[in-house]
Amino acid sequence: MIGGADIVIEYPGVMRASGGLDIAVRRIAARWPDFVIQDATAGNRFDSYSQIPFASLSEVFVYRDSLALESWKELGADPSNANSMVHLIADDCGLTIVVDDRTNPTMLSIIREIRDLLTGSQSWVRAA
Amino acid sequence: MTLLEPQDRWFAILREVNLDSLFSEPQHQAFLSQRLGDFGQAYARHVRGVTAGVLPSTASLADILIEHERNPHRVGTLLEAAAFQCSPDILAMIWMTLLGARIESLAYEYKRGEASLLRATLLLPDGQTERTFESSDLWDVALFRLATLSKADDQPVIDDFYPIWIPPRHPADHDLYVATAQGDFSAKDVAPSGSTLPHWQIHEVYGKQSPRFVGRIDLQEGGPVFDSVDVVAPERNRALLERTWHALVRKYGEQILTHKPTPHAGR
Repeated sequence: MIGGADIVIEYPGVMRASGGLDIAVRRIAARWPDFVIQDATAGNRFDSYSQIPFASLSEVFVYRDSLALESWKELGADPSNANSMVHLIADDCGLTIVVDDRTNPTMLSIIREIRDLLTGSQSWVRAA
Repeated sequence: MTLLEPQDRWFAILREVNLDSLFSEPQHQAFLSQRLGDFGQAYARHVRGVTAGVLPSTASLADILIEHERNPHRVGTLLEAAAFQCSPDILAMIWMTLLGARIESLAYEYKRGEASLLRATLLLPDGQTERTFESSDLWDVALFRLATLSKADDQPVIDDFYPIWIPPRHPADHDLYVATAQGDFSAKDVAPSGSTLPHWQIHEVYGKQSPRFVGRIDLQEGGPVFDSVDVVAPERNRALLERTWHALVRKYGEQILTHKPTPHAGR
């Protein structure tokens, strides 16, 4: 990432890696309707939410759209690509969100919304 | 009808969300089988007429098992909703949402002794097709327990459903079980058959990992003796053992804990 910031969200209770990724991807997709997802390990590309087998993923790149994916492929962590991709890493304890600039309004919203979803709505649930 | 086939597979899936003990009785297994069958029919009814590829056209038991391989948390959510006795129509609504439909509106109206009315509208993943759901069954309100909540630009968003943490009940191979503020603990009497006093092994029980052996409680004339197995922080474990002991006494009575033989049935 260009600079980059890691935000680690530990989730409570019954949440697992597949669920953490699912929730985060779904929220980002709501912001970026033309999103494209890439499996960070195998490189597979998913163009729609229904295609994604979250149980077999632990790390994904979520691009704003196909153009962003192509630009990242071509230029990598170039300033022109800033805030057009979110990097998600999940395990059974928590989710790490990597963004270029956490003060960017879109990134800030995405982070807040994912944090709400992963912890806020279930904060009353006892952690295991 | 008893537990769904293949039984081992379904038990493992139920265990993932700590519903295995809830569905250990034949009548509860029959309920689950029936409810999931009815859900499959309700889903097929609601998805009828939708363009192919937008959503799966069926939600059979086999479909659920396949989805479990891809996205186990979705199946956990469906099973919890079934355990809350949500109606087949609302299960279909939850399943469609889990598969990518968007909740456009959700309304609940309640009048004591008279009405409990839930209404939901989904926008399917094609971005055009809407489906509406309505239920007057009070148990369907449990759907709100599974809803994920957030605010987007300070506006409310209910995006999805997710399984909640359900504490495990009576883990196998234990005699007693107690939930405390410090965690859930099980106790097993491992004293030899000729012994006149019980000898308790205490495990801390977790939902997502194997139980942790905390220590032993021996009964002696002066009362219980707490023996921590942790050599690094024995005091912490000893305090846990002591708290667990008092919680067990409160729950089961001192007689059960201090006298042999331990009645295993009915606990």
